[in-house]
Amino acid sequence: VLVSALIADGPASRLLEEAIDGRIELLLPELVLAELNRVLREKLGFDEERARAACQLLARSGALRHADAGSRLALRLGNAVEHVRVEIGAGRPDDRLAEFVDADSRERGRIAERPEDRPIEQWLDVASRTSPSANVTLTT
Amino acid sequence: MAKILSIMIPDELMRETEALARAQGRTKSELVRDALRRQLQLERFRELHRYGRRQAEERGIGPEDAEALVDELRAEQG
Repeated sequence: VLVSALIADGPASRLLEEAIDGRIELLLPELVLAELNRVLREKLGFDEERARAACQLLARSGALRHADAGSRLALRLGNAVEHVRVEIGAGRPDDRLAEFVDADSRERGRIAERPEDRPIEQWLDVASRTSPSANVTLTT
Repeated sequence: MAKILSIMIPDELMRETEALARAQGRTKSELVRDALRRQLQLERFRELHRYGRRQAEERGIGPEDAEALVDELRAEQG
């Protein structure tokens, strides 16, 4: 998702813009950022400065989130969501990358369990040709 | 070191800014600093995105190849 966001227009790119704009919170393990840095440099020919800048930008986007970001999104969603969190990761070999927007903040800062274990009330499938593995899950 | 920046904004935008500042218990300066910071980050992302698109196009790589690139890297790492 992160690589797609940096090389093409589409849902992944828009998702990152949302995160940078502070409307959603992006939680990224350092390992993912380190891997992104290497993919950008070794597979896409990014120079070191830009690869580092991209990773720093993503790392900072979480810190830019404001306390009222969740409530602002909740307003847009009709007060259905109290807290918004986005997690990106691939835990199992067969997992596809996915983003989770989660109303439960109790485990904040941890990578979430499998999406199928969650009380899913609504799935918004934003998969497309440009981002075949992107899904957004909304829970309340 | 902070510097002072004076800007002119339309009356309506000022009223909305004041109302938002009151509602959130923040100063107008905080709101403007925040908006500016986010805009700069957004522009930085867009700049990196344009660069990334060029790099990918030159190599004939599309977003559908992203997962394969990550897999390749992991395989090389062993």
